[in-house]
Amino acid sequence: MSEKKGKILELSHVSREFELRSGERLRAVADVSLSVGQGECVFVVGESGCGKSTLVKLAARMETLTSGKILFEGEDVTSLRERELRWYRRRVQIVLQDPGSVCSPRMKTGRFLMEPWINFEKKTRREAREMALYSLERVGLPKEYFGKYPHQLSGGEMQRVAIARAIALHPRLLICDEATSALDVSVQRQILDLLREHQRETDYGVLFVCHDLAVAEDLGNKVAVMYLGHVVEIMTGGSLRRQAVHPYTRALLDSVLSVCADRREPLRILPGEPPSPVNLPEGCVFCSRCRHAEEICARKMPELMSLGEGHWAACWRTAPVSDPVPAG
Amino acid sequence: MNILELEHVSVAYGKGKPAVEDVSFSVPEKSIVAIVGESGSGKSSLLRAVMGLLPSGGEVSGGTILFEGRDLDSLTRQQRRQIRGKDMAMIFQNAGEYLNPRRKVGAQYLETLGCHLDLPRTELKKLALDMLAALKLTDGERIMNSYPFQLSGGMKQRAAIAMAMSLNPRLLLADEPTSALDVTTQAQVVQELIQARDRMGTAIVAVTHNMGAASRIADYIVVMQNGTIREHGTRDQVIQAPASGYTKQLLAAAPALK
Repeated sequence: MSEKKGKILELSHVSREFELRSGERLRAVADVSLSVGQGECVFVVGESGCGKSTLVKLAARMETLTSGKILFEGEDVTSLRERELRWYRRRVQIVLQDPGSVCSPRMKTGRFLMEPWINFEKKTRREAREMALYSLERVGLPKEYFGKYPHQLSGGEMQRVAIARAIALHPRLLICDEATSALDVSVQRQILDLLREHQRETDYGVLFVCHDLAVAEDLGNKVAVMYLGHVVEIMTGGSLRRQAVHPYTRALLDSVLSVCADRREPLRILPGEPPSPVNLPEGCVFCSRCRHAEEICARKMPELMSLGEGHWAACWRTAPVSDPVPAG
Repeated sequence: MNILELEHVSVAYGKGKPAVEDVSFSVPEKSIVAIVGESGSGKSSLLRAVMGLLPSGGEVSGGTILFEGRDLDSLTRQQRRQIRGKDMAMIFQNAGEYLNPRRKVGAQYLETLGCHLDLPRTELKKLALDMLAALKLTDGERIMNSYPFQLSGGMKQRAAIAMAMSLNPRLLLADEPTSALDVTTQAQVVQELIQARDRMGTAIVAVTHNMGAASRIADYIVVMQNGTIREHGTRDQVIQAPASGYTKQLLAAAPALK
């Protein structure tokens, strides 16, 4: 981890609960601590309902926290109000899964790209136009795209435009919520390469939410696995198969259908589905589906414990015998 | 014996360029064929043409589709209806979208069965529960008694597979059966399709953009691009020794774990 380069975003013990009409409480995000350093690409992976999208909304301050703290470049932004958030909105940009829902269908690409310059930098239209053309160039689209409407673009091209707008004002943090999940594989590859290249150039931090473990492994410096609102394992980039120790992470990795896998080997399947996040019982969240569950697992949720450089897991089986070091 | 044969099939929407052009391949009995390709390659149109479910404006503009040796085009609507659902069933990407949100899954299940089987309701219900149990959905009663929104995506897809398989079809068409699902559920559904074939001998044609799923499930793979077939062969040929540059490109772009 790039401790020396400074942290951009620090989430500490962040939780978000929703109160349901029935009066029950749904814990979408539970006590999550995670940081994004300069030039670092942090992935949050997990299945639907694990709370990864809520986590991203919390980080972008689009959702209020129930408890916990968010530091942005050392400054506490947890309880900033809408007006004070303006500078935060500029420095933190978000790219969503479906770019079609971001662009107004009646706004041409050019105007869409000029907006941030006019709104934040108070540029004149002529200057903004120059900058917008430059933005197009940065994401590898020819100038002709300036005058096109969203419906004239393919999914991949539209995602490029969305990225162009997000990185236009040199944000410190780029948040991607399933930014490549809706795209064809070859287009996905291009977009990922684009993001990688830009990040290398500009040194901003990336918080990437994704359900594709292979993408996370490929691009991430740090990969956090979430299950039912909890981060259950944090790994460094590089081979996840070699690192993963948490039974849920292992099950996720086993479920990935790889092209070159040996078909005679039976699929190892994690049976069942995650339980409802409403009124969770005590104990480890994964306990009900875990093959290795023991008596202690049903009693107490383990904290993330360090297993080596950049590797934490919340599992009693792998807990070090000596004093556990809580993750920061 | 081939259960399905496509000979020079074209599908067109209106007067424009056909969505599928001159496609020929066959599906041997009890085999699984995966059609892979990216959006716009015409793979879904092809599947819908076989099922006779092309959206309005779309039609088979050329070639013949033979199902168990019979030309589907020569059948009357009545005959076609008898085949559809019973001998040839289909599942979709989003099971939630084709289930009626206002009716319980059970009612829809029994309606499907009742269209083709002249049996009392209790018998039909028993058949449905047996099928759900066979697919390892242990709480069949609860599923039958739920509205679609009360079930997860994976559960709905598995219930849809059960519905499709209950009438013991000779051919199952699957349009992106796992694409909308989580990884662990994807593996469950893929396993289920393979087992359905092994147990009941149903041939499956699955359309997917997931090379990993195709490589796991298929005996034969058809690679499509822009409405035409780029490559066609056994799974091992296509995965291990792809002949077409496009296939190589697809395989290289598919993200893989180290």
